[in-house]
Order: sequence, then structure tokens, then C-alpha cells
Amino acid sequence: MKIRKKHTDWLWAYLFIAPTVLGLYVFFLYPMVSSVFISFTRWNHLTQPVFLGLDNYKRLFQDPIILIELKNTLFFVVVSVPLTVGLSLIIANALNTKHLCMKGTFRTILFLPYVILPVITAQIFMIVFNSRYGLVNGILKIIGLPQPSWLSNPWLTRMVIVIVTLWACIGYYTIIILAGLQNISAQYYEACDIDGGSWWVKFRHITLPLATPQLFFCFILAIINSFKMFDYIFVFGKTNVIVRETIRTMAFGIYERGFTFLEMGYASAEAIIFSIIVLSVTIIQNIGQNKWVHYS
Amino acid sequence: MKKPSIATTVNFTFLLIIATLALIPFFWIVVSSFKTYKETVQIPVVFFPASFRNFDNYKELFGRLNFLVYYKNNIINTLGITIPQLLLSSLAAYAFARIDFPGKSIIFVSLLLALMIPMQMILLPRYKLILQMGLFDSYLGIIIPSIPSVTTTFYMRQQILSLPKSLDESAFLDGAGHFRIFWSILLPLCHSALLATGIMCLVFSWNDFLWPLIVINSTEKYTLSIAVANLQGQHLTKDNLLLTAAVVVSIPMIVVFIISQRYFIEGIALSGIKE
Repeated sequence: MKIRKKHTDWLWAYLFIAPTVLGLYVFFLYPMVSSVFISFTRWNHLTQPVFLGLDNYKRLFQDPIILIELKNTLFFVVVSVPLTVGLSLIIANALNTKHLCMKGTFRTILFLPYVILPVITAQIFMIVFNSRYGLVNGILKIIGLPQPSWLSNPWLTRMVIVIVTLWACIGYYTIIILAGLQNISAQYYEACDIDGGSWWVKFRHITLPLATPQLFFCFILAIINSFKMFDYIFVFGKTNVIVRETIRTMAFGIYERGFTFLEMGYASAEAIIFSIIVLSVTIIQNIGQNKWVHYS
Repeated sequence: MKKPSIATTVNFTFLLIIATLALIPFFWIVVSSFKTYKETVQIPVVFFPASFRNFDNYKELFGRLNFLVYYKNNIINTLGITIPQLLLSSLAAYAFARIDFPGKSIIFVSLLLALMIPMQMILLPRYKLILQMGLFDSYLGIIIPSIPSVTTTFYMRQQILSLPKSLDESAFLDGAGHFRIFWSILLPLCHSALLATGIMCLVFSWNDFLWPLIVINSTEKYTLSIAVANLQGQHLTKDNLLLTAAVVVSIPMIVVFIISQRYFIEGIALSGIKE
């Protein structure tokens, strides 16, 4: 009797998990394994794949365009991630002030950009930063400052993309950090007040260490999102080939090689190198977290 | 009433500046959506249109540019992903949280692997799979691969684990089976978690660009993201139209966010604390 019940239990469990688990195996794990095989072939997805061995990888390491993509990808990670998390921490800390009016309104406004389509966000900023009739240069002109042509200089274009990233996702990270700050017991701050600690002492020795779990989570998310950035590059490079060639990232390169140039094998090899980089960075962060993350 | 301290005033001013900067693009798309093309590209910059009753841009978007169709497509895709994802993930979450079955921990860990894969790595084989399944250029091609979700399953499992086990035991003694326990007892108790994850899924599917871009080919099946990206750079498309599209496309998500803000913030905040 008991054994029979157990077996029906199993049956139910398998039935319940089947759609999700099979779905994930078919649409995530199988493609992952399959892309390793494709990366050893030449395949334009119309004819049969031709086995090439390691040729795609050899080509990859000599391709100057891949090097540009790698540099740009790392540039966005190194520049935009610390800015995003740092600014989110400062804003969350300000929002966590006692007796602050309009707290809810500020939080809503800051989060609002996150729900806008990334394609739209990029287009809005391209128009706002237009060198001739854009809002930014219009204002600079009124103040009497020089008006750079933002979208034809590669460095300025990269900076505009960093600004777009900041605008779009700061609200999200602020909410995560704020939730952590609100969990910090008021007793710590009261004790610090009694000892006459300044706001900086409070921030440096209470807020910052106790918010490290959230900061760590934000860093992981922000880094992965920065690596995967595709939509902004697609929009910013769409109408200007020269800009596209200078700001392209690996995420964009994989798409273009696979679906515009129909080089599925080569694109897969790039995707594999890309995934190895992303995974190693995540693993290194996880190992490194013991050094600075405090779990209470 | 105590006078606000210096710290409070400084923080308030700082937030006011940041919030203003955050709002500028919104201000700009709204005013620009009423401008004529000439006003959009005029130098020096024109801040306000001559008339706020100029609805030509809106008429053109919904008329010549078929945005109603893209709206419909987006709604089909978004709901087609979100509702099954919530149901199927919760179902799996129930099994992982409440039933002991052989292979449970191995399967659970294998899902973690799926969580770590960057989308770029699975893009090409998945595209091939969709071709073979005959789902290329169809709504189902967007919807089906996006339904299974590791994050929603993990999150719902956490929620179910946090409910007392005595609930299911008393229901079990009353003769309820697993599906009854899940459907009539546990799921209703998870409603706020369902809303929180559901809304995140809604925004994510509404905004998704890369996957629909690969799966969809014919114009009448475009999602809003693709339609908007395609507007850019077309000879007949002017910046005032692009900015109007920005207004039109963003409004539903802004409304959803403002109505359900509490669940939104709860969902995000929890994801940070859980880690």
C-alpha cells in the first residue's frame, strides 16, 4: 500500500516538472551542447555542415574585428558596471534618509526608464544627442558651451551608450540595494550617534559593509547584462556603418556573423569563447566574494 | 514639527536633480510627439510645439505604419509567454518543494546550468531547432522557447517552501490529491509572489528584441521592438515619428508599472535578498 502511494507520488512529480524541465532541456541545454558541435563546422544553415576541426577557433584568434569586439565588450563592462552600481548605491543611500519627503515618487521616477523597450531607449538618446538638432546640443548652445558631434566620434558614442545604460537600469539596482539598506537595524546607527560618528563613518563602517550582499548581487547582474548588451549596439550602429564598426561588441558580432553573413560555425565559435569569458568572470567573482561580502 | 536636518536637505536636493535628469527624456518624447518634422529638426532647438493638438504623428503611426497590428502581436506574445510560464513553473516548483522523487537533486542542479548560459550561445542551434519544428516566422516560435523559466521556477519554489507543510497534510487527510493541494490550497496563498514574478516576466517579454528579431520574418508578425527598430533609417521616417512611437509603445508598460508598483518592487527586492 505504502509503496504504491510512493510511486504515484513520483508519477505526479514527473508530470508536474515535465513541461518546464523538458522545455529547458530542449531550448537551453540541447542548443548549448549543439553549439559546441556547430563551432567545429562551416555551415550557412542552408546546406549540410562541413567539418572543419579547430579552423574556426584559429581564425577567431587572428581576426582583428573580433579583437575590436572584445575590447568594446570589456570597455562597457569596465566603465558602465562600476558607474551603475556606484551611483545606485549613492541614490539608494539618499532614499534611505529618515523623514525624506516624496520618497515614493523619487523611487517611481527612477525606476520608470527600466520598463521602456531598450530599442526605444536607444533611439530616444540618439535623437536627444543629435549633433545638429538634438536637445543636449541645443542646451549647450544656449549656455555657450562647445557642441560636440556625439554620434560620429567613437569615444563620444561609447559614452552616450554608457549614459543610456545608466538611465535605463539605475532604478532597478537602486531598488535591490535599498531593500538591503532598509534591513539594516537602526540600533547600529544609534550606537554610532552616541559615539559621535559622522555621516561618513556611518556610511563607511555600517551601511557599506552591511549592503555588500546586495552590492555583490548587483555586480553579478550588471556584469552579465553588460556582456550581453545587444539592443543598444544594434540601434546605434544601424544607420552608420563607421560607427557600427567601431562600437560593435561580441554579442552583436555573434548575431551579425550568424544571421547576416550566415557563418553559423564561425559565429558559434565566437559564442563559445564569449560564454567562457562570461562564465569565468562570474566564477572569479564568486570565489572573490569571501574577501569583501559580509553575510550577517 | 522638527526642522529637516542638513543631511535630509542635501539628500532631497540630490534626488531632485537625479529625478529631473531621469525625466528629461520622457518630457522630450511627449513634447516631440506633437511636433511637425520641421519643428523637430529646426536649429536652434524648439522646446515646445506650436500646437499640442497636432495628432498627425499619432495618426500616421496607427494608420500608414500599422502600429495597431504590432500592438496586437505584442499582446499575444506577452500573454502567451507569461500565463503558461507562471502555471508551469509553479507546478514544477510544487514538485521540487513538496514531493520526494528519484533524481530530484540532479535535475534541480541541471536547471542551474540553464540559468548560467548566455543567450548568445544558444541562439544559433535554437534557431535551427525552430526551423526544424516548423515554428519559424510564427508566434509560437517566439512563445514556446520563452515559456520554461529557471528563475520563475526557483522563485516559486522558495515561496512554496515558506508555506507551512501542515496545510498540505490536512488537505491530504481530507482526500485531496497533489493537483488539488497545489491548485486550491498553495497557489492562492502565493498570489503576491505570482504577481511579482508575473510582472517581471511581462516586462521582459514585452521588451524582448533579439529572439523575435531572429524568429520573425514577415512584416505582419513583427513585434513592437522590431517595428520600431525598422522605422529607424527608413527614408520616410522622421525623428518626430520615432519619438511618437516611443510614447505609444511605452505607455502600456508605464501603466502596468504604476498600477502594480508594489509587487514590482517586492519582486525585485526579494531577488536581491535571496541571493
